[in-house]
Amino acid sequence: MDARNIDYEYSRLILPVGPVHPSLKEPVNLSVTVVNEEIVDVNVKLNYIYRGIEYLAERRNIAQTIYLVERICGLCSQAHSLTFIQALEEIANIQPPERAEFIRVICAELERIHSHMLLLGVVAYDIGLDTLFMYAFKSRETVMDLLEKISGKRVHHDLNTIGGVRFDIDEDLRRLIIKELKYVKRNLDYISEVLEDATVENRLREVGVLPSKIAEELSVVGPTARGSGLTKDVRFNRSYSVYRDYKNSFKIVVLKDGDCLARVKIRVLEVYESISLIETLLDNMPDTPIRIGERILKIIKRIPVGEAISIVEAPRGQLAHYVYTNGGEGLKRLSVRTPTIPNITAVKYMLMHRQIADIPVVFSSIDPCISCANRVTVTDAAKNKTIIVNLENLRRRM
Amino acid sequence: MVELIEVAAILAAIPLLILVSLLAEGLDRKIYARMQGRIGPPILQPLYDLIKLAGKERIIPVTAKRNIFIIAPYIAFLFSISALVIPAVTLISNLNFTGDLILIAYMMVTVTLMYIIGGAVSGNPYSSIGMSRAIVMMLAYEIPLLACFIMVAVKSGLTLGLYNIIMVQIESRQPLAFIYPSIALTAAVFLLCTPAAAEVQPFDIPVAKTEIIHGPLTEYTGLYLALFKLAKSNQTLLLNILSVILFFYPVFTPLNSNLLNLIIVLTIALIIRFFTVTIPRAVFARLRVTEALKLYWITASILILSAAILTGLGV
Repeated sequence: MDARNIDYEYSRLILPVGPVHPSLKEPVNLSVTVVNEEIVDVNVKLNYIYRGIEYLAERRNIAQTIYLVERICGLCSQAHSLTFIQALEEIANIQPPERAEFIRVICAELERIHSHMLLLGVVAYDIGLDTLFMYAFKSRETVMDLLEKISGKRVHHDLNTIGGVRFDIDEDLRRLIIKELKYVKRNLDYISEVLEDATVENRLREVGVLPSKIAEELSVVGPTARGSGLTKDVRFNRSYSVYRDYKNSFKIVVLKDGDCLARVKIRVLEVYESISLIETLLDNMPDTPIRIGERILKIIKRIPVGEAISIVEAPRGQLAHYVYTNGGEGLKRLSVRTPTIPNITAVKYMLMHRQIADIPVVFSSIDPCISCANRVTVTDAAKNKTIIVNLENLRRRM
Repeated sequence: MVELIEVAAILAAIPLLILVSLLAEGLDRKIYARMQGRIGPPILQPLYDLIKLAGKERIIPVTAKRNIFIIAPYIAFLFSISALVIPAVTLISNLNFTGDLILIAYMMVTVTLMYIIGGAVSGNPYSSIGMSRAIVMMLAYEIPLLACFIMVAVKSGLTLGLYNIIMVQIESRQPLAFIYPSIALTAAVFLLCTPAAAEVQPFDIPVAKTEIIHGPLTEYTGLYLALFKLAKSNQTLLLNILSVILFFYPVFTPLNSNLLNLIIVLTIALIIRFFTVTIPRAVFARLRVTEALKLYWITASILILSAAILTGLGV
């Protein structure tokens, strides 16, 4: 190397945030270039936890893949399996009983509550307010216990199956859910009061601003988009399942500020909406069976060759599954687009010209799920080129 | 012979005070946990942590300046414990020497300086950012803190000995903060500076774990980390004891009652610790370094200046 060309700029510091860092829950590397505590460049590196789930899905039969897909993400497990099952039911032309759809949506909304509570806690931890972290996680525990009461599992519920659900919500459980949600609501009132606190606002207001124009260009999704004033919610824009009939039982929350406080507040308000939706759904549950009578191993035998895209509003935003069945109990191709993929591109814009102190809170305010977002790009080191995968290649799995 | 007894008292006080400062920290952590709705660690947990850390491997990074890296925690610990011994021995055996207030101030600043030096020689980007933040914070709170010492020294009849300050309070049968309004303002500044000096939540900017891992202490492991932690908990206890002695001395206890005296002062110090360390830690979010600087330089300087003006007026 030519020593003369190295021109050190001593005030410029490249700060490696991650892959192991106290504010990051999952391995990701943000190479932040800092000049006098001001951020001038951000480089996000993923791919520390690539798991090859799409590849695995193509080597198993559909009944096994349902459980595999659920394990893509710990927080959105119900959203992932709901999306996948909806795509399969579309291909197989199966209509699940009405009660099953109710239970699916109730669990999806419970999951939204505990996912949003997690984000509130993580943001509070990042700004150094451990007390709010503890309170948020206390309510989250309540919701996770409810999910455990419904399905027997706290994280991966294994609830959905083709043509229905596996667990029912009986009268006792219904009353328990309503009672516990009242407790969550009370806690939430307290949490939203704490968020009004001056020191909290000080750390969140006008931090990591994402104007709606930029948000539209980067096509961010979910609460990140709604915090920037975009009315993007799959539950409204392309409503599915029970949301079609119960659009009026909850409101879409949109705030215009585009800063971290808006993104955090949206979570709080959405939990209120989710609670009211769950209460309405629990009151109006139809009395039908919870699944079609046929056994799953027989169903997967008669799923024809076909493809479908299913889109669902996961807690973090729009989640899409592209499913291509091979007609012989298996899948030819599964492609998952998780909400973190578009959202993580917005981090660079949000962090530009901010201070080091804002890195953790801005990064967690988009609620990143790194393990969902890991993909492989094919690069040829010898020829020094990157292969861009188009739709045709995607279908043929390259 | 008398001198020998005094030396023995000082030597006996050192392990006792280390234990007390660790217990105070354990109590603080327990109350903090209860405020958050947790059970919390046992009160002896800081002691267990210390023993465990002392037995761990000591890693010295290749990029660090080895000798200074090792010496800094020892100096920080020695200075913090000696600073803590002075008021304790004054209370136990009525030791009286002029200028111990200056000595305490000097030792307190040195402990913070050792943090900064330890961060500077670590050779880690997080340590250097933590170091620069620690310097800013030191400029922010150390100047009002020293100004408080000067105010107390002036108002208690131009004395620089803790013993004399205590005697002034006992003779007038009232704590110093209740006699003069100017000292009441000074006490407010001192209590305002306590959370920053103890590096707790709104002002834990140099060691903000989600932002810069552990600031200056990022590369420290094993015994060195244990010594730094011990130095910090000693310093917090020292600040609390000083705020009792300088401003709120319990005048109903006679000075010659030895250990009882120390116990009463410690109890009041723990109450002060609850209000200045535990509560801010539980209810506030962390400030940015510029905001903390602004807070201390504007609020604290206005308070200390008005105290100085009041002193000039003779109240």
